[in-house]
Amino acid sequence: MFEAGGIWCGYEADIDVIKGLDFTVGQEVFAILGANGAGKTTLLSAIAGLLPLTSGSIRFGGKTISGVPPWRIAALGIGFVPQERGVFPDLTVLDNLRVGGLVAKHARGERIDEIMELFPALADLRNQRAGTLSGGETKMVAAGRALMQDAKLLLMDEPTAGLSPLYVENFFDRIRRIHETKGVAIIITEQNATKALEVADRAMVLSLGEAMTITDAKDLTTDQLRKGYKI
Amino acid sequence: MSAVWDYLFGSPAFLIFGTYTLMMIVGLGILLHLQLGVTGIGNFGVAGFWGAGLYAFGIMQVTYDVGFWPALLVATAAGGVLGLITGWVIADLDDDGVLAATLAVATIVYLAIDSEKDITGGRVGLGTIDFPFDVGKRTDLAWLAILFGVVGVLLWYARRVHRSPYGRLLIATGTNEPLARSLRKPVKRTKVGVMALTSAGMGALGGLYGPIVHFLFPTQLTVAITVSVITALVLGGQQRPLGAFVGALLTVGLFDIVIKLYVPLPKDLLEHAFPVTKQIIFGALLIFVLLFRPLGFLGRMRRERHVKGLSRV
Ligand SMILES: Nc1ncnc2c1ncn2[C@@H]1O[C@H](COP(=O)(O)OP(=O)(O)OP(=O)(O)O)[C@@H](O)[C@H]1O
Ligand SMILES: [Mg+2]
Repeated sequence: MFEAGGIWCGYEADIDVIKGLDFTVGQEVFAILGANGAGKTTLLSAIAGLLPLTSGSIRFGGKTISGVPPWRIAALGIGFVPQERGVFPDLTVLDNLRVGGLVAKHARGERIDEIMELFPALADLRNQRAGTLSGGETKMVAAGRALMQDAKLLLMDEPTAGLSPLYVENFFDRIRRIHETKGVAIIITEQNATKALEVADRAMVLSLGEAMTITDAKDLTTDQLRKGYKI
Repeated sequence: MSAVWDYLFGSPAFLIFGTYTLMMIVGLGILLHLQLGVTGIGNFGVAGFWGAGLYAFGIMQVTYDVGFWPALLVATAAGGVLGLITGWVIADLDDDGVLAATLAVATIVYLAIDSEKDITGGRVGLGTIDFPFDVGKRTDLAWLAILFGVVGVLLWYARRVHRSPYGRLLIATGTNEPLARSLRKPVKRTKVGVMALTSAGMGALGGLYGPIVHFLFPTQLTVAITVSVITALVLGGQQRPLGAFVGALLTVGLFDIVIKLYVPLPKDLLEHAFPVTKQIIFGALLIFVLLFRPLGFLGRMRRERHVKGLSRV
């Protein structure tokens, strides 16, 4: 369903951050693990179309999406939950879910109910401005917003960073549920390898823009992880 | 009683002219609200888009002897096309770039009109422009009623935008553009569209100003207009459709109507020191509001009253 072939990209000319990645993602939860600066955010931005590739190609659902503007990629069914600033602060929670959803009107209410069910804490906050939410609540709105766009593939960049342990547990449960009940494929980046490996089907260890390992999550060894994190 | 009446309405021509100015600032302020307050486009060239309309109207009427409606159409189109081009240029710039570019557009409009002579009349001026109809002595009052109507429509439209999916998209773009890029709508096209539409409105307001002044001069297009509009909007509340109205009452209403008409200042002072002092006070007010109450008199966008429980603002 998703294929990245020999992709290179970066922010400045001649300095590539992502250096020749090849991987595929099917109907699964795919974890990207790596230390700070490994290139996780860069990779997801490139998939979402926010950063152009210097070479290589990305295919999704049989179509080449590299070089396609981000809004078209979103329309094809790739939802992006960025690491930071994932909500529209001046809109209410409800309006954050509605914005750009472009879901048929009759289906919209249903979809919102589904998301409220997934994140019950949001129900009471529906008319609160997203800019006044707590960190965890913000993360839930950000994830819910991406789900509203009829995503078939969800890109989540460290969705639990900065959350309390109890919250993290909860959040990963939700992610698993989104995948299982809605059939959404998920690419998730994480610092917390242990937690991510609990929910992921497969994982990639990224180090300085290169894939150290791509394997089934349950087979990933501590050694392979250490090598990725250079510890 | 009649003494009071005479005091208040004894010089209707001045009162009407003051109210014209007020309505212009309110109208432009509502349009700037859609640009700045909703979509986050800091247009510092309001005078240029408005002036393009004003002069397009004047040129059509005076130089080419075209009727009122086609002239107004051209004025609207002039603002719209200028907005479209400007929008295209600024869509990918950061806030500072947008300020500089829009100011540059206004400067170019001013310089073009000022230096050209055959079509615009240059510094000699362009006139005369009359009201498109004549209902006798108080034709000016009828024109004011029309302006009220136009501003009313703009206000209605702005409020409608706030409640629409389109408005949500604009607010989303204005407050978090990087995130808006990964929505299913093209951000750039949205921003260019807003600029074109609102600038067309500014052009139309410019056209409607023509009959009020009868004679056009490049000096009518200085940055003073822009500063007045921005001050009014920011003071009243840039995120609120009514912000420009409230702000304009507190600034232009106070100075151009109340003080000018009802405070007995010496004529000399009124003609020379007053306009300058007014601009200085507006500028100072703008800085003060931005420092201490950036959301203006009316505060935040909307829906605040729906917030349940304790607000954590
Ligand atoms: N906007 C940018 N311009 C230039 N270089 C950048 C930019 N953003 C990131 N980089 C560089 O790219 C590299 C990878 O950054 P990236 O944000 O992808 O890492 P990450 O794996 O997401 O890290 P973290 O876990 O800290 O979020 C880093 O060396 C960083 O300095
Ligand atoms: Mg990152």
